[in-house]
Amino acid sequence: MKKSLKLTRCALLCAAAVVLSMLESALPVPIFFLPGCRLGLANLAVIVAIPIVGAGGAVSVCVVKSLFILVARGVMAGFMSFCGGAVSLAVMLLLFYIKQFGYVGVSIASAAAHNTAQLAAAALIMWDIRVFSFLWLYLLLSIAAGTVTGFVAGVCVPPLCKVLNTLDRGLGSGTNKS
Amino acid sequence: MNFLSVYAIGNASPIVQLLTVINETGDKMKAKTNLDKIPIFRKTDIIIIAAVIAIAAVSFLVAVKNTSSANMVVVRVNGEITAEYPYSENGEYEIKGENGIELTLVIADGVSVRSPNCPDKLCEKTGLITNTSQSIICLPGRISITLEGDSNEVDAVVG
Repeated sequence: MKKSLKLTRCALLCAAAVVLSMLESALPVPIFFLPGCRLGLANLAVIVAIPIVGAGGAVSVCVVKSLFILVARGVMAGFMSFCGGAVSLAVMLLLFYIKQFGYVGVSIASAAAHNTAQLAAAALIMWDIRVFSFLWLYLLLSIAAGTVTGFVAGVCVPPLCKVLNTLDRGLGSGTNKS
Repeated sequence: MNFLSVYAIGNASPIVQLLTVINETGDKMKAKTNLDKIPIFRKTDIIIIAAVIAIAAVSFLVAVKNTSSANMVVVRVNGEITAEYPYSENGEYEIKGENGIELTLVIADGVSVRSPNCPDKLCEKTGLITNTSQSIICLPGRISITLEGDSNEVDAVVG
């Protein structure tokens, strides 16, 4: 893939991630008292990024998302987002390249890893291991959230890839002719 | 990843090198696997769901095991701690508050107050308190009696 193409697609996916995380923080928190309990829509952009721009692009999307949260919501939230993003991206890449799981499975695993890493970061910041007493609830919620994002990703990615691949071929033949 | 090198000091920066390596290996891996042919749901996903549920169950059991309810009875007068008693031992204690108010603190399967010499006897009417979210307040004597322990309450999780 051409560098400029890849750069544009990375930028688009970064923008999508930022918009999704803004949208998500604008939504009211649905579940009673749990703080930070959200769908993980921004992770959707990362999941979509892996098939489209590869692992490197997904890393950049993840970093940009964390930088955005760092700017918008402060150092603590940025640090936690970075921890969660890094761990969930690692899990995602691993499971994608094992090639044994569908989008829903990858998504659930990465959501669970994201939540665990965020709780670990919170425990580190507050120096209080009792934060982990909510882990079970976060894990169960990550199954629900992961199913939703995984389903959306699974529906979106194949047609998107098809379109982008035909676009790539068209662009490639165009440059060859000229 | 040329666009990143604008922000770093030249192409030789280790961060840019690292990103380039990640980028190239990512491209190689992507070329080897057809990620767009992955189905939405596979039977093996059930393994992941089962594993997550199993971890959740284990952490739930650990959390429940470590939940210790109230273990201290804390008495404050004017917001300052004046006395602490173990919740597990039954007993009766005299407490002196402001304005000459005195009351008897009774610890017996819960905490209650008996025979206060205040006019409204609100603290006595509060009855038995048994967990950390409850408290007995005596306004004229500026006394508050709370239960405290290794609760699992989290003030805030950010992110």
